[in-house]
Amino acid sequence: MDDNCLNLRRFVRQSLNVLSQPRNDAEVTSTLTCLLHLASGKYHKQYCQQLAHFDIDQDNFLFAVVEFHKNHYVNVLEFLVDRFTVEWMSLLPKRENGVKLLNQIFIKGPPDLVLIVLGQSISDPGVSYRLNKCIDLLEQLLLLHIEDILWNQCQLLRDDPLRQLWPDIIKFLATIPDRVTAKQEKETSLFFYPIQYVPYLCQAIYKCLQKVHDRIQLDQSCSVEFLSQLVGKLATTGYKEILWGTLLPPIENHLYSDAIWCRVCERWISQIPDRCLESVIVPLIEQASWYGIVGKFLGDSVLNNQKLRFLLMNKLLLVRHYQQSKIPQNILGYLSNSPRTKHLLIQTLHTLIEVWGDSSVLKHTSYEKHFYLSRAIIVCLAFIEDTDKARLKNELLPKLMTALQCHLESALPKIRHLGMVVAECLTSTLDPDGEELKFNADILGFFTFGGCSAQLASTKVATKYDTDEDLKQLKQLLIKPVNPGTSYTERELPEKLGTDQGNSAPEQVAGINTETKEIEELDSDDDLEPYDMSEDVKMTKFKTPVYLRDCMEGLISSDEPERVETCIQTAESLVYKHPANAIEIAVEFTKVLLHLQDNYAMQGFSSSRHKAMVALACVAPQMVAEYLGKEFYARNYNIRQRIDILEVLSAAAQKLTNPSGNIVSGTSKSSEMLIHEVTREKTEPDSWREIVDKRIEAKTRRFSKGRLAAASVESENKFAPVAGYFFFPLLQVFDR
Amino acid sequence: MAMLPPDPEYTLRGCDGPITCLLFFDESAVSDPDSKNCKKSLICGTQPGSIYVWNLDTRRVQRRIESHKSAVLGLYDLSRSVDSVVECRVLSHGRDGVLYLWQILNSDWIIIGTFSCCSMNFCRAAVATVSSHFVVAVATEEQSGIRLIEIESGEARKTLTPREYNSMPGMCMALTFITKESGASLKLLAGYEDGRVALWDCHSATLLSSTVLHPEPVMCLDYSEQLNKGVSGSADDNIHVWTIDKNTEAICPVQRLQITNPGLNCVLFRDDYKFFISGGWDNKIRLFSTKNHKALAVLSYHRDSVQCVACASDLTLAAGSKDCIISLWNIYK
Repeated sequence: MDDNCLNLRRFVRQSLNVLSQPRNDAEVTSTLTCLLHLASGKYHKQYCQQLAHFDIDQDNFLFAVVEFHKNHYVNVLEFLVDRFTVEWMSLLPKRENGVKLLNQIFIKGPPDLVLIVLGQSISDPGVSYRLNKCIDLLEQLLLLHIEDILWNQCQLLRDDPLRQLWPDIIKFLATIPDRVTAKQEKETSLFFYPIQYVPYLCQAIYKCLQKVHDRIQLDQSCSVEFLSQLVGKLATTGYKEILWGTLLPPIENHLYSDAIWCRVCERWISQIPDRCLESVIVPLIEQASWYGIVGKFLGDSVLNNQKLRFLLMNKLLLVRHYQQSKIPQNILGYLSNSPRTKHLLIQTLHTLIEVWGDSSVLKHTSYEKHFYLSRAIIVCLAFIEDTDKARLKNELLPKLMTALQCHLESALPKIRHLGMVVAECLTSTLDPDGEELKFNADILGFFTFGGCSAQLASTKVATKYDTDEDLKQLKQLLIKPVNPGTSYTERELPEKLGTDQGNSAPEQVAGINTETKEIEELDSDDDLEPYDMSEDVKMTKFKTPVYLRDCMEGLISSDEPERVETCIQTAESLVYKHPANAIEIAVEFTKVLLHLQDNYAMQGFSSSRHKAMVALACVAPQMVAEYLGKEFYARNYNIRQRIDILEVLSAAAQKLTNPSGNIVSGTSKSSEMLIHEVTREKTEPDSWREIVDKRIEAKTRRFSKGRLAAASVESENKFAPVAGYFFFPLLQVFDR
Repeated sequence: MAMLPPDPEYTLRGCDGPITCLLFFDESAVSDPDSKNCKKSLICGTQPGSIYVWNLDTRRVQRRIESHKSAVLGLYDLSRSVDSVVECRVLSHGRDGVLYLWQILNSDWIIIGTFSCCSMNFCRAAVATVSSHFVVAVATEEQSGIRLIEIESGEARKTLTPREYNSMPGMCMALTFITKESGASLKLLAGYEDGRVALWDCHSATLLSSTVLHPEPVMCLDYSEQLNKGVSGSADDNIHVWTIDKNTEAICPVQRLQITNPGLNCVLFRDDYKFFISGGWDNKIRLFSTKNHKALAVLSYHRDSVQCVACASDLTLAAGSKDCIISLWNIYK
């Protein structure tokens, strides 16, 4: 330990003493100035007189700065952060901008150390002045120096002790938005919102990568390990979409043309820690526009990284499934891209077909998953080269035959059809000269073939279109995706050309349009005003029933679907409209509804039926509830009907107790209210007393006034008297 | 909120069967346009083959003529003045394959001419005046054929049969002349069973153009020379508005209007060309603006399919329906 170190230590000790009890403005200012210069590493004789007292002068200043950064800077910062209180700040010299000097000490020093100190200090519990101050400083620091932080780390050598700080730095960089928002909640500065901060950080990463690229071009060494770890952390923290959304587009551009960029990126991705691999790679594969890009990022890592190999070949293809076909395309395209990984592609095709044709897998996975597998197989076929095909043909065709059998045995038509399409594609690609496997299954014909009953046919027509789309999509996958990079520059050209060519025609069209519009606007005055179109409704063959008995009749003689449909739809309103008639036939009607089956697959059948039954139970609670309660335990009902009974009972009970009280009488009540309103309006101008009262009321000032709001309407609880009929029949046999 | 569509101004009941055709007839207008003593009447034909004359002042049946053995498909006003003497004449087209020419003398109907035509189809005849001669177009027995008959001489002048097609367009379903009054050139629009609308030149008996507009047979069509717009209805739920290109004579679709219920029996431009009227299988009468083709009103009164509509000189509308009722409407006058 030489004198310089001791001197510096003495100086720091004294400065801290001065700052802990700031009294003399000049003294404090010069101390702060000296600290600032030590932190920033810039020597000014004029300002650093105090240092001279400790034998630190221009000659050994640089040494002192290194020593200061290494041993004292963090302590000083922590000391200062501890002092951040309103009282202490007010003691700082105002005239000499004490606060500004203080901030500069934080901003000008090595940013990574400051980041750690500030990051730790905002993790302390409680909300205080200190916290806000620290967050302020942090924002300034990040705005000014975030690139420096990253770039400093990239320059560190393999055994640099400062690498020990990496976990902390990465932790703080990746989680600052969370930490700050957790503390400041709604007062958080916009900068710390993830939507703002993460793209900013990603921009810094991109710039840093660019610096790395430049430096490698100059034949100097540096490392991207820090960036790998940071990206890994960011992805696991949940910012993977923003991360790749910001980083991919600019990087992709470089990758098409620049070999050094490719090398940097490959290195960058390959050093990502295993535990973060999945969260980084999956969105990369999702978002990469072309499989070649994936290849540039991943290089040959799939050969030596077991985890990556498992992720790509098993997890993403066999375990998970996605909507987009891009993912299998990117993975399998990547595997086919390099001669060293090609054997993996063939291996994958083998496993894919095995899994695809496994009858138990077929039974226990969803159609979407299975369709994903099929897509993966087809994509595989697109990438397999002609030279391999002959060899593969002999190995794969036997497997295919057993697999196909599983599919054809399936009860689901879409699975059968999927099997046929995949098999057709497989044979035609693997064996183009051989006999063509052709299922004479025109898609449409196939689907109408089995349709014996009307209902079956209708459901099939509904599903036909999407599977049709699916299968079309499948066949499109047989074409390799093209490299968008080559068309990147071309894409801009036609646009420019197009503007020149297309100028004349659209303008003409636009001109015509405006003209006709003008004409329309000009004589729009004498337009005939259209009448109300509410009567323009779909015509039904059967009149809507007006009487309850007609309605019931229609439901019993259910030969014509349209009649049943209109009857069931009007049943509820009819019951409420004629409550007296409904009571007479309530039980009978309930019986009809309970036994009614949805033979014609009508829309809204079950809800209308439910509503009608509830209406009946509300109009004649005693009879209907008793009947339903009894029937609940009767024989020969299916589960659906029993559940219906319970649902109707509970819904009816709720309606009867309804606090707003205007439901039971449904439509009739509302019409009553309407009549009330009309009559009131009529009488208003007639009665002079009312008018006089109104005037008096308007001119009267009351000093205490009760609440003007109308009291909530009280209504009789109609459920109370009949509650027994709801419960006892059900409870009767409950424990037997 | 838009107004509710009006109810019919009056309904005429008492016909012996479904109404198949309507004709507003104004005797006084022919004899003496200035006379106050108007004798406006509405003539209707029915399914069983009767012709009723309704007096529009008293709104009673003035006369009933049982003439045709089957439905009366069409009634046409062929009044003319010969040497300043007015002849009130009406042509009736029956499904029994006969065209009767009636003269009305002191409200007596006398047959003064009989022409035979095909009896197998439902196509209504169309009438045009060519230099004070009347020409009637009717569908013929042979498929896709149209025959032109000159009323005064009684001779069949020409037959229009499409030859250009490998497959015939099917039966002729609807006819309308384009140059109704002027004699310069006479063109005929015909709708066929395969959904095709064709334009014929009657003098040279050549087909000028044809366009398949509908997937179903054309049920009815009408054309307005003033607007150069035509409309056609079919068995499906679309009305096509089209126009005839002046240069190429091609029929160009303008717009396809969707209606709620499928099936149309008749379309007609009102005499002031502000809107056109359609009568459909859904018992409704629909009005569409000719300017922007927007639906203006849906008139519902009838309980069965509306089979025919007619327009009076005072812009009153009449609609005849399968429910044996004629409704008179007073709308957008």
